[in-house]
Amino acid sequence: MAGAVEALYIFDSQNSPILQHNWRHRPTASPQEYITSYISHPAPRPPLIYLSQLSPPTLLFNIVHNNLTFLSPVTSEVEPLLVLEFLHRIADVLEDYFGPPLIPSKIEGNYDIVAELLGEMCDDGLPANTEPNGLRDVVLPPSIMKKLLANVTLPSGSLDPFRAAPSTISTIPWRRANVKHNSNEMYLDLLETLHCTIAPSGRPIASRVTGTMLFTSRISGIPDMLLSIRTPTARGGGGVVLEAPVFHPCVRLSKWNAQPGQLSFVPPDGKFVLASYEVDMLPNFSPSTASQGFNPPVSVMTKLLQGTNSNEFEVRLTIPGSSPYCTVIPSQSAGSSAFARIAAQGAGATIPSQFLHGGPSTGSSSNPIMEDVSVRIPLPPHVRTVLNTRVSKGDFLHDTERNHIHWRLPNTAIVPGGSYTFKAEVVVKSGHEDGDDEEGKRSGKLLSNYDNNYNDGSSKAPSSGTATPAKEKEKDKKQPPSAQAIASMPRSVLLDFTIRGALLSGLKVDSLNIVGGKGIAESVKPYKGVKYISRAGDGSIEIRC
Amino acid sequence: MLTRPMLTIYAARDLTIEAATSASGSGRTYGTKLINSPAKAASPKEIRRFLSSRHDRDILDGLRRVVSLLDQPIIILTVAQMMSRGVDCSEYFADVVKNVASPTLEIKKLVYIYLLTYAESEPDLSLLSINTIQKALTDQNQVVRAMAIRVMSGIKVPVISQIVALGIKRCAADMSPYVRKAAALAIPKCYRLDPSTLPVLVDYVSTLLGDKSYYVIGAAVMAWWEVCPDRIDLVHPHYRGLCKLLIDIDEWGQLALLRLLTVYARKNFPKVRTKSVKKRKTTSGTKGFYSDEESGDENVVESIDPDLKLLLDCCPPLLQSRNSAVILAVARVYYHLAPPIYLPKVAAPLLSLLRAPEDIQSIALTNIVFIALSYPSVFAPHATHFLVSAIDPPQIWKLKIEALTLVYPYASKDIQSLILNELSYYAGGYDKEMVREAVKAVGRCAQNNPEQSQRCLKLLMQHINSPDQTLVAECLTVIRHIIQQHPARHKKTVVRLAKALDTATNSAARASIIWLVGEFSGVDNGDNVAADVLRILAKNFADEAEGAKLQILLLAAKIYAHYLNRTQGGLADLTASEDESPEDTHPIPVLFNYISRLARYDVSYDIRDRARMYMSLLSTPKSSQLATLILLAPKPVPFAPSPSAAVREGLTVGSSAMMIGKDEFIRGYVSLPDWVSEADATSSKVRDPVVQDSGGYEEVRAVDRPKPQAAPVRAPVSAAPESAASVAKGKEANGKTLDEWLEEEEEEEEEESDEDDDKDEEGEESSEYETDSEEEEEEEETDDDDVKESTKMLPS
Repeated sequence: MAGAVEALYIFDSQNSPILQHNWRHRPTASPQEYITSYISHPAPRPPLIYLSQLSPPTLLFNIVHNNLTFLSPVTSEVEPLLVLEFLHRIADVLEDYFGPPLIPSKIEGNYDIVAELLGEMCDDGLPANTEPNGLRDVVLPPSIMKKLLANVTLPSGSLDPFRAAPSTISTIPWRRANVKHNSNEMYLDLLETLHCTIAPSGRPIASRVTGTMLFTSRISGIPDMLLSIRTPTARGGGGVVLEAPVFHPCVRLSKWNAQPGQLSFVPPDGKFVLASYEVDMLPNFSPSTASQGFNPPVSVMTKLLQGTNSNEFEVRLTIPGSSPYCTVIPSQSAGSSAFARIAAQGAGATIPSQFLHGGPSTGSSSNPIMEDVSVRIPLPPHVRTVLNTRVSKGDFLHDTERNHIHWRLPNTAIVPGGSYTFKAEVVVKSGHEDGDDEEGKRSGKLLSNYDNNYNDGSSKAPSSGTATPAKEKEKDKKQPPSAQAIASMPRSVLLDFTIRGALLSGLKVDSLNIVGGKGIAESVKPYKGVKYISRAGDGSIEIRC
Repeated sequence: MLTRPMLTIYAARDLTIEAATSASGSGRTYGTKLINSPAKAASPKEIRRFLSSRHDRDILDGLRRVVSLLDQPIIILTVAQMMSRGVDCSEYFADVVKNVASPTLEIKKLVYIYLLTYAESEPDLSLLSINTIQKALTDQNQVVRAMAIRVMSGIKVPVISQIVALGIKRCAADMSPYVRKAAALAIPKCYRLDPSTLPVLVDYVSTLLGDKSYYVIGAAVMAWWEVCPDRIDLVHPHYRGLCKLLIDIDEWGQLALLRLLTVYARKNFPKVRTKSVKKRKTTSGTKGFYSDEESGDENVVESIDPDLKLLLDCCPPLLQSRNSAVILAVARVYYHLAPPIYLPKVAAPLLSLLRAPEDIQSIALTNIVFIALSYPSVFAPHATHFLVSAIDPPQIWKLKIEALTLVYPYASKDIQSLILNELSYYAGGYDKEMVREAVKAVGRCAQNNPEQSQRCLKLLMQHINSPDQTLVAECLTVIRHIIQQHPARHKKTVVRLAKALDTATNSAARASIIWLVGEFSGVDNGDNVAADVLRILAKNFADEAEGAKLQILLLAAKIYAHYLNRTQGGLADLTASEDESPEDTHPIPVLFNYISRLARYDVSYDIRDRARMYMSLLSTPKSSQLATLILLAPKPVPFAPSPSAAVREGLTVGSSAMMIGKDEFIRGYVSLPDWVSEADATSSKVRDPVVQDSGGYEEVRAVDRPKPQAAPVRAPVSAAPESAASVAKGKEANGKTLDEWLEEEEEEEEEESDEDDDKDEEGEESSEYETDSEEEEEEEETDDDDVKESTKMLPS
C-alpha cells in the first residue's frame, strides 16, 4: 500500500485531451486509450474503472468537474479515496488560481502555472502541498505573473515580488505569509440543503439537512477568529444536533469538542469551506406517531390515474399559509436569473460559488424569502409524451432527453397560502400494450394496498392477504385503470427551492469576532457579512406517489 | 515605465496569434481553441531566440512555451504548453538547460520542470546542470534549496545517485522543515535511481522519522513506505511520538501514517482479547454478542495493550477531517485493530461521506457495506441514510439496498417496517434491475430475521399478481426460498399461495406455486390442501400452459407417492392384496390416474414421457421406495448471501483491491499481516524513547474473542408444538374448500405462535433451528428411512 498518484489527464467535454502530467514512470497506455476505455463504460460510471486488459492491470480513477474529465490511471494498490480527494483538490486549486468556472481555455492559457502547481501538489506521486494558500507562497498566481513579465527588465526594485515573497514560507500550512489587504472583510455563508423523502401518504419518512459553512476572509496579518453558532434548542432538549461535523484543518477541534458551537480558527486567506455538518430533522422517527414535526416549506401532493381514461396525473404545490419564508412578495427581477444559475450548476456536491458573493439576493435574515420553486416529474421510460397539460401558474418544459417534466413557479406566485396545480395526460409509446383488463384490476388493488401499509405503518399486520384484495376489487370495479395506465404514472416528484435569509435547521450565527492574532491593528474593524441560504435541488426532496 | 513593456508584450502576442492561426490550418481540433486562448505559439527558431536572449523576460516567455509543449506535433505551442500536451520538446534541451543558473526564480522553476521531463533522454547534457543545482542546495532561500533537492533527485540519470544521496544527507539536516520535507520526498526517488544506496537512505529515513516537525513526518513516513516498508524496527522508538503527532500533520501525511500504524500494530501487538464475564442472567435473552456488549460494558473485559490503546485514542479527532480518505483510514484502524466497541464511533463520520460528491459516495458506501457485513448493528441507528433516492445511479442504490438489508435485523421495529415498505416501493419501480434487487433484498431480510419473515412474505405476495413478469418471477423465487428455510412456519402461506392460483394467470407463477404445494403435500400426514388443489387444477388441466401442466403432473405424482407411503406403511400386510386390485376408490389414486391419463395424450411429448414415467414408477409397490427417493427427496435449504460478502471478504477496508473485488488483481496489494502471536509480540520497552522500565505491559489472557456475528447456537430439539386436532382429523383430505382450510390453519397458527412465544423466552436465537430440525424429524417419520440418504438429489 504505497499510495502514489501516477499521472493526471484532463479532457474537455469533447473528450479531447487538454492536459497530461506524469508524476511517475511511463503510463501503461496513451491518453487516447484511457479516454476510450473511459467512454466505453456505460454512463453512470463508477469512480474507479478496472482495466484488466492493460499490463499491469490499471485502475482508472475519474472525476468530472465542470464538464472536464479528470482521469488518473494507477497501476498499484492505492487508497481510492486518496486519489479521488486529490483529483478534487487539483480541480479546486486550479479554480482558485484561474477563477471559477474552470474552463479548458484557462488551463490552456496557463500551462506553465498548471505545470508548476501540479509539481508542487504532488512530488513523485506523493501528494504534498495541496493548500491553496500554501501554493500561493510558491507558485505565483496568473495576475502577478503578468505583472512580473512586465517588470522583469527593470532593475530589481520594490516591484520585484518573487524574490521576496516565496522565500518566506508561512509557518501555518493553510495560510500564506504576509497577507495584506487594504480593506479588511470577512463573509460567512451558511448553505443548507434539505434531503427529504416523503411517503405517498404525505408524511416525511426521512428528513435531513446537510449544511456547509463557506468562509471568505480578506484580513491582513494572522487573525485569530472565534465564531459562535447557536442551535435552536440546547442539546438534550430535543433540539437539533449538528451531526458528524467535519472541519477545515484550521479549526481547533479541542475547542469545538469542549464547547460545541464555538469555532476557533486562524483562517486561510480567501475562500474556503470552514465546516460541514448534518442535522437529522426527524430524530425520533416512528411511523406510528402522527405526522408532526418537520415538514418541507412547500408541500406537494400528487393524484394519479385521474380523468376518464385514468391516464392523467395531477401535482399540487401548496405554500403553507403560515410559511415564514414569504412574508414579502419579492421583486420579480430576483428570480429567473438565479434559477438559471442553480439549474446550470452540476451535481449538488460542488460548492456553488455563486452563493458566495453577488447575485440578486433580496432575502435577509430578518425577512427570509423563498425563490425558484420548481418541480421535476420523472416519467416512466415508456411514456412517449404528455398531452393536455394544464398549469395554474408558471411554465413547464418537457425534457425529452432525460424524460422528465420541469415545472417552475414564478417568484411572484410564492405567497402564503398559494396553491397551484399541474395536470397532464400521459401518452404511452406504441407497442407497449401489455396486460389485459383483468390484470390491471389486480394491480390497481396492489397500489392501494401499498398505500394503506404506508399509512398505518403496518406495525400491525394487514388482516390477511386474501380478504383485502377481494374488497378492493369491488371498489375498483367502477373504474378499472389498466395496468398500462398504472405503469405509466410517475413514481415520484422532485422538488427544488431556494430560501434566502433562513436556515431550515434553525441554526444562527451568534457572533464572529477577531479575538487575537497579529499583524492586524486594533483599530481595524473588518466588515463582516453573514448570509443564510437553504435550498433543495438535484433530487434532494423526493415525494413518492 | 510600466506601460512600455506591456506594449511590447501585446505586440509579441499579436504576432504569435498570427503564427498560431497559420499553424492551425494543418492542425486538428486545437486550432480554434488556440486562437481564443492567450497562448503564444512560436516557431522553434523563435523559441530558441527567446531562450538565448539576454533578457529574463524573453527567456521566461520562451520557457513558458517549452514547458507547455507536448503531445501535439502539428501545432507548435509555447514550450510550456507543448510539454503539457505531450509534444516532444527535447530538441530545445541545450537552449533550455543553459538557463539553469538564472538568478530569477521563475526561470529556474521552469527549467527544472523541463529537466525533470527530459533529463532521461539527454543524460550527458543534464549532467552539465548538476553542478549548478548542487550549488543551489546552499542557497539562502529555503524555497530554492528545497527545489534543488527535488529536481536533483528527479533527474533520472543513475550516475549522479551518490551526489543525490549526499544532497539528501545535507538537506535532511537542514534548518528549514520545508527543506527537510523535500529531502524526505527525495529519498524514494534516489532509491529508484540506484537501489544500492539503500543502506544510507534507510539511515536518513530513520532520522527523519524522529523529526519533531509535523511538517516533515508525513513525508518521512511516505519515504519509509517506499524504501523500507519491512523495517518496522525503525518505527519502534518513534511510535508514541508518531501517535501523538497524528493530529497535527497534514492530511496526506495522516494517510501514510495511519497505514504505517495499522501495519505496525498488527505486527507488534497481540490480538485484543475480549473476555466476556459469564454473568448471564437466568432469563438471559441471548440476543447475541451485541446486546451483551451494548447493555453493559462491565460484561466485557478487554486487555488491550496500552500502546495500542494510545493509537486508538489518538484517532477520534481525525474523524472530523474534511478529507474523506482520512475518515476511511480511521475506520480501517478501528475495523482491523480495535475491539468492536470502538466501531460505533466511526459510523456517523463514515455516513457523513455520503454528503460528498458521487464518486466519493460510492466508495464510502462500498466500505460501509463491507463493515456492515461484520458489524451490522453499528449502522442500525442510521438506517434512514440508506434510503434510495430517485436520482441515485445503479452503483449507489445497489449498495444502499444491500446496506438496508444488512441493518434490518438490528433496527427498531418502526425502522424495520420502514425498510420493508421502502423495498416494496423499489420493487414497484420501472427499472427491472432495481425490481430484482429489491425483491431479493426482501428475501434476505426474511432469512436474516425469521421472526419477520411473515411480513416479508406478505409483501412479496402482493406482487405475485403484478403484470410485470420480472417482478413475479423474482418474487416467487424468493418466496420459495423463504418457505424452504422454515417450511413448518409457512404452511399457511402455501395455502394462501394455493388460493392465489384462482387468480394467477402467469404460467411461470402458477408453475412455481404448484411446485411449492407439491413440496408440502406430505405435511400433517397427508392432511393438507395439496390433494384439494390437485382436484381443482384437474378440472382445467387442458387449459394450462405446458410448464403448469408439468407441475400439475408432478404434484399428482407426489401426492400419490405420499398416499402410497401412508397406506403401505400402515396397512402393509392387509392391503398387499388390495393394492393389486385395479379399482381403488380413494380419491387420490383416482385423481392421479385421471391426470396421468390426460397427460398421456397431451400434445407435448415431454409431458407424455413424464406421465409414463410416473405411472410406471408408481404402479407397483416395489418401486414405491424408488419413487419416494425421486419425488419426495428433501430439498437443500437455499441461502442468499449479501452480494458483497463473497466478493470482498477478507480484504482491507479502504483499499482499491476491495473496490475491484477479490477476483481481480491489482499490483502491490498486500493484505494486512496477521496479528502477531502473544509470544512474538514485542515488548513495550522497545517503544520507550529513553531506556526506562515502564512496567505497563500486561500479559493478556487467552480467551477466545467471540466471532463478530452472533454464532448460531444449536438448541436442544424440543418436540414441535403440533395441534393435536389437526393430526386427529385424519385423512379426509377432500371434503373441504380452500377457504375452510385457510381458516383452520389460521387458528392453528395462533396457537402455534403462542407456543412460539414461550419458546422465545428460552432463547430466540435458537428457535429457527428448532423448527428446522423438527421438520427433519417429521420428514423422517412420514417418509421412508432412505429419504435421509437422498438429500443430495436434485429437486424433481
